[in-house]
Amino acid sequence: MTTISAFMTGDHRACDAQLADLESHVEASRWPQARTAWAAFGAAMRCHFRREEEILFLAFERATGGGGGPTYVMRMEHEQMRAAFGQLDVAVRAEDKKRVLALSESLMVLIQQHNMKEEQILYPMAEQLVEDGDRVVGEMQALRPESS
Amino acid sequence: MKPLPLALDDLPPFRVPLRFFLTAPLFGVLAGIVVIVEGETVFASRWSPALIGATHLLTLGWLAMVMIGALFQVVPVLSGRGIPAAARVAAPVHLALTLGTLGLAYGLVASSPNLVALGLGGLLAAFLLFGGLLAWRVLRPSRGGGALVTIRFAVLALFATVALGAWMAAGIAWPSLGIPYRASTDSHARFGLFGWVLLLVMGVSQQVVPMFHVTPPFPAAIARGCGVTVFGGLILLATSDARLAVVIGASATASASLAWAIALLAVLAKRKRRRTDATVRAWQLACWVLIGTAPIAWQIAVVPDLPISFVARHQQALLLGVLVVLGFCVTVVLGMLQKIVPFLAFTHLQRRALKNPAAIPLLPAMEDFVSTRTATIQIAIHATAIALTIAAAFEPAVARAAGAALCVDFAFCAVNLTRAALRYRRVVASVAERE
Repeated sequence: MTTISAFMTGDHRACDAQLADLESHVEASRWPQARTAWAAFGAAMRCHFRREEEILFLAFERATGGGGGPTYVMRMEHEQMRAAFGQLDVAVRAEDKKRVLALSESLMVLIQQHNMKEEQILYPMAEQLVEDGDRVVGEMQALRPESS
Repeated sequence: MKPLPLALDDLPPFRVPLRFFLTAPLFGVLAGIVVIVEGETVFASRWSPALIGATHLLTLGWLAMVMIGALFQVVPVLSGRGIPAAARVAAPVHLALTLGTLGLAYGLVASSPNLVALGLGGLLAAFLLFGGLLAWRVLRPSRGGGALVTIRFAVLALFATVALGAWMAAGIAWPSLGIPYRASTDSHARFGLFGWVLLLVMGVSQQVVPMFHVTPPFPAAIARGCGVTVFGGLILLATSDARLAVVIGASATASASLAWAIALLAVLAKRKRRRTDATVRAWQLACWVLIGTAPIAWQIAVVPDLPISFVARHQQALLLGVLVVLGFCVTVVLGMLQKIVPFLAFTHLQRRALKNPAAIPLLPAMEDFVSTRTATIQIAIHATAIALTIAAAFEPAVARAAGAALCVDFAFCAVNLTRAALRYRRVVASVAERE
């Protein structure tokens, strides 16, 4: 069975690659492919957030006895990213190349500083504190991105 | 505005790092002014007071200033908890570092023992206060991969650099102590530049480059081996004059630096995000400078009198200093700053707007604070300043042109960062109007 860290870090990298795909298509003004990449990235990110907010964070909060602290900050950063998705969606629909690239750069940095906190601190802590880690990973794996 | 909930304290207020980032380029401009005023004498020898003063304006006023500001920001990300009392200690650390650097640099340029003593006091206060709080957070045992191990070596090298620097400054400030301070110069410079800066850059880059530019990870041997090899080489060089120790120490340091620079270029070449922005350019420039520097550093340490050397003996240390300080260290920090300031402005604004969704469409992107075009021009100006300063190490007549280029380089940076900070204030005001 894979660990929480390994599974979720892999999930991060897969999402990053999809955001990079979006950027390449937009840069080359391939808008139909860009819209497809944007939809795939959005679905992957929503799935990743659900894996965390509905499964991993709850298990973490049960193990640590509260919803404050690290998971509170992580949930708030997810809200920040959702706000950025909203701005990006408008720009992708408008086929505004300059704006999409500016917003995707900001989103990429926002995502990476968030991922760094999860990969350096939250996931290793979760592995130590959550007792049935295998079950948590299994539940997260069972949750798949909705096809759009 | 409602106060932020306590759990958000992981992100220090923007003014904490910003005061360091806005001050740092002014020290770069000062270094340029020293070179313009002192002209040809700056590059007459590695012991020229103006050269040593200008070097410390860059290493303390630019490098340490930005790195301390950035650490206030990065430590919470890496350790899960911020520097204790960040908002309260930032101002005194900043003030002590600013006055200490000015005192030391002017004292060195003007050969004034009293000013050097004053500078030493300020710098020790800054480093002890900040270093103590940092060590409290970073050196506690915790699990960590190759990156964290390398960063710990970097912190040890920083201690060595500061201790040797303080020892030497004491020797200058109080000549009656009879401290043979020149003997420690090479160790001080090596620990500072190849130890603290290079090791920190190695540790941080293997973490951030694959994430931000979507590249494959560094080869495991590079990620684990380079930091420890450089640190081992530096210890050997610092503790023994024996021929074998010098050969092994210099070979270890030079080959690991070379291997890391080549690996970083290779990793960047495979990046999935094909956009070439200023940060990528800065990494590439720094890597190429390091690839050029490592063999020269090795030759100077191992075979200084090589007859085919294209650098005369008295110019060797000068050239090496320009390459490492300006070409490598300053470049990496300049490249990162082009991203750090816009990102912090962006993320602080975004957090404010979360409580007020009507403000979200008002939010600028990072690009709106420092544009890719501006940042790319910055790196091009910097590359020109490096080239002119290298030329000045060979031909002192070029010194004033090099000084002018340094002034333009850092003034451009100061203007752009200040404009970003002012824009941030304007957007904060317009978001507040809607609250």
